[in-house]
Amino acid sequence: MNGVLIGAAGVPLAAFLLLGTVSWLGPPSGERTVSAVVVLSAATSAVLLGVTAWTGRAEVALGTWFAGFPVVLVADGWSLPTGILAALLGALIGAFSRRYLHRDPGYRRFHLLLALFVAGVQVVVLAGTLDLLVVGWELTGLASALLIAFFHRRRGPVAHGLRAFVTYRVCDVGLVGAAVVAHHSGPPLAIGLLLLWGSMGKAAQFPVGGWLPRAMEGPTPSSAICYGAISVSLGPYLLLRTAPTWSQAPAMPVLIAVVGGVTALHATLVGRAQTDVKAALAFASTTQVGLVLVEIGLGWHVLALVHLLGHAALRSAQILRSPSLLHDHHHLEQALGGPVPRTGALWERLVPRPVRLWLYRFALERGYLDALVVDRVVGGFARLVRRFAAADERWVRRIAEAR
Amino acid sequence: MIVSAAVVLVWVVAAVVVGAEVDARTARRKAVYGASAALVLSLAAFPDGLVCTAFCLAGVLVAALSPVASHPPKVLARALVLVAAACAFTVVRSPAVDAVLWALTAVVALSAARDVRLFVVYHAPSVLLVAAGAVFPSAAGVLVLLGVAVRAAVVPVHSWFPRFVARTPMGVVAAFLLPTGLVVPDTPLAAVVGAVTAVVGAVFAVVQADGVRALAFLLVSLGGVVLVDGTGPAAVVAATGLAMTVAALSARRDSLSLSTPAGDLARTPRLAVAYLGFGLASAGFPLLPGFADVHRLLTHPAPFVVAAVVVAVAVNGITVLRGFLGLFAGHPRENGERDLTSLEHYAVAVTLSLLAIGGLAPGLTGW
Repeated sequence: MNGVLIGAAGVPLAAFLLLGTVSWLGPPSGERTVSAVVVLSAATSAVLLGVTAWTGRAEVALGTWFAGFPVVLVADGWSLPTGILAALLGALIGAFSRRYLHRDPGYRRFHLLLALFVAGVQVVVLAGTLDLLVVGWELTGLASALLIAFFHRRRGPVAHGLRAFVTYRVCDVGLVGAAVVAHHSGPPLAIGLLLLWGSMGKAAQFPVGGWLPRAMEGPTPSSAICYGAISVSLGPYLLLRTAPTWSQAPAMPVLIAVVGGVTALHATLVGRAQTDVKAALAFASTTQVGLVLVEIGLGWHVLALVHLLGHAALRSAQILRSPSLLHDHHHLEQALGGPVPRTGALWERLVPRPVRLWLYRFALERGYLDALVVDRVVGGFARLVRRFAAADERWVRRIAEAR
Repeated sequence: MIVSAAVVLVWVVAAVVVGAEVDARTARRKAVYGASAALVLSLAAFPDGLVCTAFCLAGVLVAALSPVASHPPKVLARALVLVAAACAFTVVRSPAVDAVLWALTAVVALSAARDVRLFVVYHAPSVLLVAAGAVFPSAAGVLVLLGVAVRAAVVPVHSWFPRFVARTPMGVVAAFLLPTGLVVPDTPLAAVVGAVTAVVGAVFAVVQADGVRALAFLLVSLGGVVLVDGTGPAAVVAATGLAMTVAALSARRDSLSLSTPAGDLARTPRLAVAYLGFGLASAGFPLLPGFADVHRLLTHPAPFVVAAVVVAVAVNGITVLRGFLGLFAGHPRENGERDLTSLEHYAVAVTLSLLAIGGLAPGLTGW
């Protein structure tokens, strides 16, 4: 049993290390080989988890990685479905990208990062301790950010990759903090708050979700797996996994439901005013993940898991299909024999015109969140620090150049 | 101990040979040979002499990645002397020897620095304080800490450091910083000072618009972590690797501005991976050896120190990725930049693979 579980987490990691070493050392390997390694590793991981599911729940203690860091892998009703879905999607995306990115100069880099992403997700999903979960969490964060910045010669994707990484890193403080507080057996409310903060970054919750629509500038296959399906689901997964800890604090379920509810309202409103399909899908993802958080807050954990996995499968299919949107729309119109009827007439009757106009403006500006979070809070802080740094530089110049 | 002394001797011989050389390229090649010999010799004391081995590995990076344009043989020799002095710190551990070596390294660095006045204003008191700590053992904790604080660029006595990094040959800078952690007194005050410095340095680093200044403040932040924890062998190697990669990069470009991108990671993949690998290793990223160091720090008894380390590590990660994307992405055209040369590749490949092995299996390498 031990070997099977280690293999499920280790095979994608081994694939990443193998591809990384080979591409550092040697001449570029063929597209087929690279693709085969990635697809097979993800598929192997899925099969191994399937075998585990067959034999039932398992908790494997593998000793310590280094002093004070026990490695425990858990295969149970939460981790097995999520892990199998993640690995299957990884294999699917690997197979899809073989044609989608054929002859792209970054073909190997994409597959390398995809292998790293799948490896990180499997570590997160199977981790039995919060410390081990952090390892996978950081790996997925790095892989996601580099995948967003995949088209590295354009400024936009690079800036958006950095923004996603900044959000992840700021929220990781919560996750690491939760692990530390848990080690010192601190109050459940503190652990719960830190965990919620940690999960909000990955799950693109209000008010730190601005990175998700921007993340769609990465290649479509990686958008499908990272931001449509798996990466955003890791936030709710973290809360499901740690529910026994935070549910001891009575305030936590309410808070989680409020965060999810506010996110869902905000994202569904904003998503309706988006003009490109990938941004609209991103906000649709955010809405659903927000609803999953509401379900978690209400204590419907099994429903939340089913909702999460169903949403992941549907959304990645939609995003993979999104480049053919116009084609599909034509098909639909031909089948209907006329234009697709427009929806939302009910709201036009219910909501008065001035309110509708205001809401439209609000949605176009994405709820003024970027202006507030990026320009005011982050930008203001950066300007303050830069001012100090400039004063420091003037002082040094005065000493160095005095005669 | 005998091994360490022999290693010091090898470094000194290498420095003399390199200093007598006329051609800068031949000098660098000989420096790499000498550094490799010292590294292999230092392995004889493994695993007790781990810190000395780490200094030698850092020395290999210094020798191989010092750009010839900014490191003529005389300057490269000074860098090698500084590495020799760093190894000498590990031979005999006594306050008197520390004070002598502390003064020696300051003088060698001064001879390579361009802002002599600035350097003296900060480092003369530092040398005197460490010497006073050796003379008055009862007050050593505070005196030595104050002396070390200057060299570790602790806030608010950090101001000399960014200018020093920007205007001094990077090999000298990197070698000068190696032994700082060995002299740090193990007191609660040092931990608090280090924690504050780690956060402030990290925050200053992340907003810089220039790659070299960002590196300088990143080193300030890493120095803060060293004050909390003492010398971590992996942290020393990773920080040196990052500094020397930036040096190798700045020899290829006019400026390292983060706001006007000029690089292309597809053209210089090894250089880009070296930057990212060393940077993430120093920012305590998982699967790299810095992670174990950071994880151990989280068990520190003072909650303030733990919180500061968590924040500093998170912000340092942002700084590294910001630097990586700013220096190697966002440029639309080819720039004809050269990837790592064979000497540079040798040093980076050896170090990165050791770091990766140390990160995956910390028990194997002992860091």
